[in-house]
Amino acid sequence: MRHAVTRGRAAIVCEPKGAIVSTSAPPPSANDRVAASAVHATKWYGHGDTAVAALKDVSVSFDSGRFAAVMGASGSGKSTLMHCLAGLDRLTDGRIIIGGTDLSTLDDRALTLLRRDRIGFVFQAFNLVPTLTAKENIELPVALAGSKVDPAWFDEVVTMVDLRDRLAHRPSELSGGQQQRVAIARALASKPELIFADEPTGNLDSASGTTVLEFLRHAVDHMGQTIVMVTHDPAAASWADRAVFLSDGGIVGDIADPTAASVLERMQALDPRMAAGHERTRG
Amino acid sequence: MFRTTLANLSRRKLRLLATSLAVLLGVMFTAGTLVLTDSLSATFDSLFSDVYAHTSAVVRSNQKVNGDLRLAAAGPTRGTMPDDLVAQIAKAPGVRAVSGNVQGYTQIVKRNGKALGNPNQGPPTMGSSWSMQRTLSPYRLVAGHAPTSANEIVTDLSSAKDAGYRIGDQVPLLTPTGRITRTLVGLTKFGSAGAAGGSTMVQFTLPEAQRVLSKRGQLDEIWVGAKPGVTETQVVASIQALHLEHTEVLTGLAASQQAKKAATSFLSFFTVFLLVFAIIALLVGAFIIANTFSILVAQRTRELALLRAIGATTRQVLASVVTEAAVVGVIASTVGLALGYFVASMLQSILMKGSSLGSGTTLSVRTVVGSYAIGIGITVLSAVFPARRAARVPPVAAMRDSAVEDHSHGVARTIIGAVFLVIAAAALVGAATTKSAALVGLGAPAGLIGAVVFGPVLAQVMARITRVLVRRTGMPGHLGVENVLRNPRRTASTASALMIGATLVCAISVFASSAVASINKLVDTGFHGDVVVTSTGNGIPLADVARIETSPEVASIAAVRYGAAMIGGQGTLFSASDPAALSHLVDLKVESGDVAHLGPGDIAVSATLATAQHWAIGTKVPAAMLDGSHPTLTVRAIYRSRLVAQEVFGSPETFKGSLVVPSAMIAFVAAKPGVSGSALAASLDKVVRNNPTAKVQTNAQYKRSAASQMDSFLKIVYAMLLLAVIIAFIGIVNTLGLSILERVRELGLLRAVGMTRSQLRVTVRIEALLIALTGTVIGLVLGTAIGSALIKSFGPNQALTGFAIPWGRLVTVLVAGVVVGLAASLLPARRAARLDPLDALASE
Repeated sequence: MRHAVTRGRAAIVCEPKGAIVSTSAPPPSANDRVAASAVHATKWYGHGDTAVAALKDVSVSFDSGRFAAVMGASGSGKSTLMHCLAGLDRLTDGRIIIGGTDLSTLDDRALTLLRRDRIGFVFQAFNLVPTLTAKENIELPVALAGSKVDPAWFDEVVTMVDLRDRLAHRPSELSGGQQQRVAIARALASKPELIFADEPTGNLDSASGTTVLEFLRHAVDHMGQTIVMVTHDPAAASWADRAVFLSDGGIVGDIADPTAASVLERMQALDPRMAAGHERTRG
Repeated sequence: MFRTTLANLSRRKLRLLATSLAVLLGVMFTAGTLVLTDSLSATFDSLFSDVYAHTSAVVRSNQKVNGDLRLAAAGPTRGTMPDDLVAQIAKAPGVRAVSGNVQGYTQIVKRNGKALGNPNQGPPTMGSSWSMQRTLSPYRLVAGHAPTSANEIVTDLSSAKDAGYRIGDQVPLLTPTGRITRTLVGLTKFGSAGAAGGSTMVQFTLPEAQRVLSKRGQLDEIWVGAKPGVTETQVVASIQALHLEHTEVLTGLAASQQAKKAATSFLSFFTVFLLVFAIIALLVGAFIIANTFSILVAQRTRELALLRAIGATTRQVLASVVTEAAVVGVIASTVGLALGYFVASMLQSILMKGSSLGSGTTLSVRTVVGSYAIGIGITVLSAVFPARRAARVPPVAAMRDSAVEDHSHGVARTIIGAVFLVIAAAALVGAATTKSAALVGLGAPAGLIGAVVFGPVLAQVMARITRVLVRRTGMPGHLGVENVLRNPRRTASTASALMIGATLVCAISVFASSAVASINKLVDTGFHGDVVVTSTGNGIPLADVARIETSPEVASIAAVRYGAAMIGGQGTLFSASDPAALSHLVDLKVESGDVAHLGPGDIAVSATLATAQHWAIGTKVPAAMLDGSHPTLTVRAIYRSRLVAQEVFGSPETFKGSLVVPSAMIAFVAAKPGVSGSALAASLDKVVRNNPTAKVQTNAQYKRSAASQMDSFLKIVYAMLLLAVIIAFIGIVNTLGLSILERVRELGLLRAVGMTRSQLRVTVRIEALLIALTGTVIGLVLGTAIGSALIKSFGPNQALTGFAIPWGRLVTVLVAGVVVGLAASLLPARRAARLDPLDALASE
């Protein structure tokens, strides 16, 4: 089943306690292989006494052409990390760098254009605009930029996600799995530097989920895409080249070529709560 | 359950504010109209009780012209009596005092040379005799003394003040017999108030009034005071026993009741006119309310389903939504009533300027009950359908994921709408081809109902057309169009509000522009003279006509006088002028016979009247004039153009028994060869300079002033319809705002994948624009069709023979629709653009 090719080690080595030392410290522009990185990323919610730290001084980089999974229980900060990396949310302190651009220097419009032109998104649910057909949804970011999708590329993407006969349908006429495939096609259509997938299989049955993960894997292996996927599912994480573990706003683990078993084992070893949390959500 | 309802209301304050506003404005208009007419009617009541307060009996001529006339509002036109009746009546048993009176037109010329008041557009400007019987007159002196000689007058206090005169001043006056100057010797007040309802009153001695008002030896009314101990009925009987010819006698009470009735019937016309606009506003409001509630219910589907799941019955859910509507209705009606009362009292103080009459604003039980009934009724009725839908929400809907999307518009609804539209089209085409205006009365409402019911389909068509047009403008526009299409029913009912307004504006505009075109056509093809003389007062005194006639530049003149007589047993408006001169200067579109050679006792009649009465050339027609004469008239010609000639035309000699006022309403003048129209106008201007109400215009100027009069009428109507447009505007804002709340997650997604704020604003703007345009375009088409059918239905025998589509105005309506749409999108667009994508994505 698994198409993964064994790849080089991830660029980051972390110590079990969660104190992260980046081997390829910024400036990230020095490293062409880094698609995105967080540098001493800190995010607080609320003010004063009620303030809660969602991210505590996190530094992490994601290499180009790789499929990384960010794992953690709910409240671990994995979604906040992804939102900040994707330019959907701002850090309280630290920096996010996407392909050499420091996001903290961008205003709302520039951030929006960055998301549109350089980042692809696959959300857990409610991925598509209900009034647009599948084809229009796929073309959405490119159309918003006022340009057209390269027809050859569009063909390749649509063939890959196997949606050719579904293009004229509206989201309400598609199954959940098909909707997620449209979302993947949309994320790929603009040839972004980086795709963020937020629990892309969270709402799907296991067969559809597997198909979605196959497509993501395929996009990395054969289209040279970079994907960062947030998940709490060890099975989903096993499709990635690397799994980064978050807990309480800090990185607590980082393993290469994860398998479902190694991920679960790591989760239990690092944080019994996380594994327990996983059991709960699965149950 | 009630507590849940209240909690809902307080949580949705902002959304319901807009709904309340729609009800509030409608109720305000209704309440204002009722309060104003009640107050005015109370004013008239006190006014007319004052007129005959001290009079036991009123004697007047029984010669009158009744019927469906322009003058009907002021009561029938009545003849006069010889003034020697006073002496006879004075001898009747039980009579203590007798006062003979005449009344007519007199207008004060202000210090600045302009005439005071305008009897054609406002309260009357009157002149009358000063009654020497102090106990019988409603007027009392407050300064100076009564007029004792022909040179002396008294006026009401506020008129003297407004015109800038004091006791001792020389006051120029315009009267039916020409301009005169008299000395002001006294100031009067009417009854308990300053002046009678804003009218102006100049009083002369009786002989002078009879001379000036051209009623020598004649009286309009004789007031009788009874001796102590003699009742009104007794004194009436005693006068009736005299068997005076051509008179009727009635008690003072009956006379004041009749006067009240005539005034009230005029007032009820005014009330109906205002209420029509109030109803339009409420109707438009009803769409907005219904729409808001259906959106709120759709959004609360899960909440309502949850209520059902935990055991609320269908009835309870229904009651909950209806109660919510009722609370909105109560609040909005209360505020609307208060505002309506306030606006009415302000209007009243403007209308009643210079009079202490009716200083109190009347708030009747009818107004209060009516306002609440309408406000609450409309709100609850509008909410019932959405409420029923809400009550039918199955409990399992609570578990479903997204908001209800409703693309359907129902086959039955489509068919019913189409049937109405077909009926409307058939009726309107029928009206135009068969010349039956009644069919417009069927076609217009059928068209409006059809457009509302068929609206979703029309909205879809509009959106599909627009989709093709905006395809090139990119994704934001495309999304806007798709949003309109996602719920055509909602789009249509939001647009309906604007549609009703646009329909009315366009229909009225087409009608008005055709009326102007008719006048233009008439002047161009029918006026063979060079100059038209008219008056903003009571016409051009014949003395002035004579001076025009003798001016060196004048080749010929036809001065047209109007009056009313019973002709063929029916109250009829007639015109009188020199037949040869008129047929030379005005083309009456004669069908048969000869107008130029009408002799005494000969008449020409309109084709409409001839057809209705089955008259032909040679028919002998019995007539009754105001002076009691009963001539037999002979039909000698039949004409089609009624604008100048009215229903019946003849020489002044023919109608002398009914031509009371020695003034012409309009005079057509031809210049001598070599004299241009404008040169003639300039020279005639000098001739009539002493009459500030006279208007000397070339044919071109006359056309322009007719058009501008129409414009001022249109402005009033547009101002009234503005309220409907404001409510429609609120409706679009409301619908867009609610739709945006409904789509928060989708907007978050769009922002996440790269839609900029300005692109999002464009999307909302396009949606608003499309809703507004849907309403405006349907209204344009429907209104133009209704207006055109109405004009075409009148046929060639009517005054309205012209037909003109006011393209400029229609384009203005379209532009106004665009502006309304864009303006309505401002707030919702800002709100949508401000959404934080992450919060939006996370929202439920």
